[in-house]
Amino acid sequence: MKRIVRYSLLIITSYLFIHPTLFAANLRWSGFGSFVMGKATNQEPLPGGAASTFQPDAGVPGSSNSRYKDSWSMKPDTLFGVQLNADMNEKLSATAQIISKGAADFNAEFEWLYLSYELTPKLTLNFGRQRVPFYYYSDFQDVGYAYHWVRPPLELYAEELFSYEGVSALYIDSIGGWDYEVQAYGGSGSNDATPLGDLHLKDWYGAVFILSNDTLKFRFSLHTADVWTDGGGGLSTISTEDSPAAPKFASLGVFYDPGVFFVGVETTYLDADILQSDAVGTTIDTRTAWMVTAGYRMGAFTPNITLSNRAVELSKDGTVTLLTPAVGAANAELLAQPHKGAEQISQTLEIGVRWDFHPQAAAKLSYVIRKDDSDDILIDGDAVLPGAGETLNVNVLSFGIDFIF
Amino acid sequence: MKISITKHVLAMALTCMLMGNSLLSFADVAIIVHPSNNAALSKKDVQRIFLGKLKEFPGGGMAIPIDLPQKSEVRGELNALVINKDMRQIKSYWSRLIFTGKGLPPKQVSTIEEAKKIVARNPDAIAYISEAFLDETVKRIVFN
Repeated sequence: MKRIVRYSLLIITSYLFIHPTLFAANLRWSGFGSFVMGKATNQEPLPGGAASTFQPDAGVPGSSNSRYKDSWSMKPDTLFGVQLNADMNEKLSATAQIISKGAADFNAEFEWLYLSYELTPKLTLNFGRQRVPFYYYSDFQDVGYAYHWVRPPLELYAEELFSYEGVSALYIDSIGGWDYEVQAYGGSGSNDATPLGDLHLKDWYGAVFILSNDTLKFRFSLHTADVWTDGGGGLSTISTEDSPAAPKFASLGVFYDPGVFFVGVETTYLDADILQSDAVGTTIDTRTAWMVTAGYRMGAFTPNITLSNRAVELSKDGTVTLLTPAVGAANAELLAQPHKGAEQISQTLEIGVRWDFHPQAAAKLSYVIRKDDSDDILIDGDAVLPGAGETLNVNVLSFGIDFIF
Repeated sequence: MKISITKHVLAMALTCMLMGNSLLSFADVAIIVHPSNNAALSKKDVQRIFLGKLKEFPGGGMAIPIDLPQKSEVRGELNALVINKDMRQIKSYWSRLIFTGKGLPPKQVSTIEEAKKIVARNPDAIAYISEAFLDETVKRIVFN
């Protein structure tokens, strides 16, 4: 499967970039970008002399360029994307989207690369590299122009892996005044150097259902995969390719937009099965996240406010099996006990304003206040294991311009 | 008593203004198809066609919508009366679809004459023009 996908990606790429003249009449270029500056205005001093930072994009390797610290930085949120659509005939088309992110040192990556075949006017099949439709904002998470924030609230919209290689089917139809959309996909994917180590997913399946009318939208999605990690942080892994974890992910969103104002809520739930976490060398059991957002359109200005929350419950099974022999099994046994079932909780309040100063560009200003509400055992530690401190406490001021073309 | 009369008068004036306005504008924009196209279309169908949610005419036949430039007054009327979104919302709507592989906006032409010519030639095309441009080369859609 993986090999087939790789070959077809190669074929699509060569069609698009080596022989563009073949389709010269039916090529459409488009693109988007965000230039954002930001700074942590309030950092939490952490044990060991470090200070808390803010990484807006969980999908890039956690380098120092991906985080807002105490000096102004343009890299964490700045990105530029171009897309090429090539229609080969009425039913068959190819799409390539390349994004260059400051957080990843402007290395350009194919985020989307797929062939589309319109089986019927209502049913389209896509084959290639695509975004995982985890939640409402995942498909266009990088297209800042499409939403009111500088970036979607990261308590909720922060998966380490968001692209897969595989097949998806999209069915669009309507009943009465309602439109609905059913999307199903299957494939595999991987992302190196995440906080969890190198992350791999196979037998990855999911489905999305969207029901909407002129003002109201309901969205529901379910996903499951075999997941394992390797490498990363000196911790061994308990999920291997031969015995992978089988996490399940669900999301539910409701959005109301009558025009003058809009409100939206979305919530996600992850049953991680067992995955390694970098937080305190323990395992994640479940993760629940939600956000509520609202905005008011006053001419070209859209002031908005968002509250989001994430609670990660650490595994009741403890950490023993995660630690490498070098750390020592006896030590591990001690470390494991107090953390069973402990919760790492973070909450973010964001106030911002979007200014549509141009038909194809918007300026944004945002202030994020993030608070660490984790259980004491994680923050303060105990006699055996020192706490990590309030690692999630941080305030960030950012402003920038999003555009499309 | 006085207050309530004032209220009624205000309400009536407002209603007249709103209705008058929409009747006026409504008379201005005409949705057109090829004369051979007998599709019965509702306002909702036309909205769906121009938002890429409906790709064929009810009863069969591919539907190819043709848009006018963003600054066109006729397009503004269509947005207000049929699409129910302003230009900014429409741009944001399409930016969500274009970059997620879910669709591309309608082909855009720069003049009403061009839109009319395409519709006169192509049985699949659907466009909107101002009423003054109507003639026998195209057929006006009356919403069912």
